[in-house]
Amino acid sequence: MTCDDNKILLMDFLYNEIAPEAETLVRAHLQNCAACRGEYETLSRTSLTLKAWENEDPRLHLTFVRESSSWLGALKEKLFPAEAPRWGKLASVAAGIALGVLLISALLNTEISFNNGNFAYRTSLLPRQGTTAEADSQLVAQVRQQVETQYQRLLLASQQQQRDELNRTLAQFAAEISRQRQSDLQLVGEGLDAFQQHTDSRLQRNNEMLNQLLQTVIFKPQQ
Amino acid sequence: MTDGDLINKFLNGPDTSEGTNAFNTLVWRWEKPMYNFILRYLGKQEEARDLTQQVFIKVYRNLTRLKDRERFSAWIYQIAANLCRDVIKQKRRNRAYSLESLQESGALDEAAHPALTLLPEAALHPDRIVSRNELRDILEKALQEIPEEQRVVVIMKEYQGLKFTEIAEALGVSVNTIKSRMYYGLSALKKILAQWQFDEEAMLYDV
Repeated sequence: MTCDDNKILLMDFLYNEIAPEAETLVRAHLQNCAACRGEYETLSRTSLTLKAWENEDPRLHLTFVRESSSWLGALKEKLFPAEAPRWGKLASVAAGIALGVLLISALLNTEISFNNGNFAYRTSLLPRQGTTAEADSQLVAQVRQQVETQYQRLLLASQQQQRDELNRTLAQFAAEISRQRQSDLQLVGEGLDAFQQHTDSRLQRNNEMLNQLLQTVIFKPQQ
Repeated sequence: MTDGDLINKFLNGPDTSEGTNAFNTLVWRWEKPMYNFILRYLGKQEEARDLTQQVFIKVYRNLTRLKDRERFSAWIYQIAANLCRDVIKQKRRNRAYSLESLQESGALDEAAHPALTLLPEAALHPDRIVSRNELRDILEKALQEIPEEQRVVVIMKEYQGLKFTEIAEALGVSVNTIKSRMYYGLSALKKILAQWQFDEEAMLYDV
């Protein structure tokens, strides 16, 4: 037995995990080898020193409580188990990526067209076949023409609408003016009537007073 | 009731109160060993508490996948060791980042940070008799000084009292590798404590 072999056996010996026959060998070696004996003694002292750090109280008192399970939680647990097996995780990641690729390719190949006031769209997983530069420019020209036609139509409609609106407003304004004038004239008429009535009543009162005065003068007793 | 019995009881009815009680008994049985293991591994009480909780959450979620119920001890230590290793890796990444910024600002000049500041208070005054609390701090710092793969073996052997075969099983390496790491870890600790002029005599005069 050499000192190098001893390193492993020394640990077995130090922690009482040594087989009886090996223990005899180690004991014999330690008796003959001062270096190994010294090492064994210091290591066993170090081991003893380490023991001075006693166990501490965590003051945790962990307690697991049963959760009342909701159907949503149960579904989530079923769909995304806390610790899914590795292949399960891989499969879900792969499915996610595939779905993403499909979605992106569908979006890339989506066509939206506008023709004679109608919107239309088509989507495809593969790009539309047979699109050439000429076809593209033709399509662009066609679209431009449609847009211009539509623009003209909208412009005319807008102008017509503005004209109608103006006419309607003017007519309303004129009607309002005439109605105002009529009511003003009526007010003036009523005012004149009232004034005439007032004047008449004053004249009548004056006449009555004059009559009374006249009677007083006429029937004055002779002195 | 053995751990295996409790596990069976829990797995037979995880949604029943008996199952929950069995699991909680298992938790209370293992709470202290797990906490102390993690505390000595990482050296931070708050972190150890958080990580202990995480260990039991992992146990709760994965217990169905433990085939051999009698291997629970090795299994739970494996979970705890993996969590600690993740935390250390994370810290190393963060530190690499912050070291970069410190180097740029010149804060890492040796004059500004002499190596002595890293030593525990008691190690600076070797003549003084240390209290048990100081001794604990010294050992905590000394454990953090040795390589992580040796530290975990030393903790499992010295404090958790696991057999070499159990440690090998929990860490997934051969028994001889474990013994060798134990030897080098213990030797390194011996050297560190001697460098700090601290030996077991201090402990004998414990106040």
